[in-house]
Amino acid sequence: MSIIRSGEGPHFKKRRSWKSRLLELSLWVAIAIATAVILVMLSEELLPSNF
Amino acid sequence: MTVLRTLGKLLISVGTGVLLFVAWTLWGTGLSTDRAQAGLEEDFALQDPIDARDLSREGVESVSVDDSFKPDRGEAVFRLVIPKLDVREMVVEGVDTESLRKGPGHYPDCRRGFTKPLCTDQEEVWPGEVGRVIISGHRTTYGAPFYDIDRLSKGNEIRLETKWGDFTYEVTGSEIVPPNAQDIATPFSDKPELVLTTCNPRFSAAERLIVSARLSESSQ
Repeated sequence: MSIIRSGEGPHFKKRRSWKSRLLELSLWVAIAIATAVILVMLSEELLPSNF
Repeated sequence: MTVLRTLGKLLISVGTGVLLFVAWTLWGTGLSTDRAQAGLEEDFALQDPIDARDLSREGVESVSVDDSFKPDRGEAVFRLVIPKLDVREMVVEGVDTESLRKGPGHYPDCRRGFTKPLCTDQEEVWPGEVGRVIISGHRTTYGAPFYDIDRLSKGNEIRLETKWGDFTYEVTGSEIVPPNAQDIATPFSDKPELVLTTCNPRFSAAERLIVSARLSESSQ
C-alpha cells in the first residue's frame, strides 16, 4: 500500500478557458491576414508586370 | 516543447497568409477588373463616333482614323471579341501596369503620358489601319482575359468593335518569343494586322505568346 502525498503522482493539465483559446486563435488569424496584406502590398515588386 | 508548438502554429498562420495572397492574386484581382470593365463599357457607350477615311485598294481593305483621336492612358478605346474563347473585353489605351489592371491594353505611340519601352516611336496603328494593332493582356491575373489564347488556331475570328466600324481579323498563327522581344511592333506591314501578346507559360513571365491575325472583313 502506498501513500500519495500532495505534489506527487500524475499531473493533469489545467483546462484553458474558451476565451483564452479564442484570443489565441484571433492572434493567428491576425498574423495570417497581416502576411497576406504585406504580400499584396509587395506584389508589384514580386509579380512581373504582365503575369 | 512550448516553443516548438508556438513555432508550428506561427508557420501554419504565415502559410495561410501566403495562400490568401495567392487566392487574391488569381481571383481577387479579377474583381477590380470586372468593376473597371463595367465602367469602361459605360464610357465607351457614351463616346461619339469617330471619323475614318476608307483607304481600301485592290484586294486590301483599310481605313485611316482621324489623327485627332489620341485617347488618354487607361481610356476605353475599342472592344475585343474572340468568339471561340468567349472573350468580350473593353480594350484600354496603354500597356502599363495600371492600364492592364482594367483590361487588355492597346500599344500606344510615345506621346505625352506614355514612356518607353511601353510605347512605340512609330505611328500608332488603330483597328482597320495598315500596320499592326498590338493588344497586350494578362494571362492569369486581373480577370485573365488572355488565359486561353494558346487555343486560337489558324482561321479563328477576332473582332474589334470600334467607334469607326467593326473589323474582323483571322488568326494566321502564333509563336513564343523571349519576354524582351521588341520586334513584334517594328516590322513593316503593308496590310492591316493584329497581334495579341501575353505571358507564357501560364503563371510565368518567362516567355511571351504572340498570336497574329490579318484583317478579313470590315464594316463601317
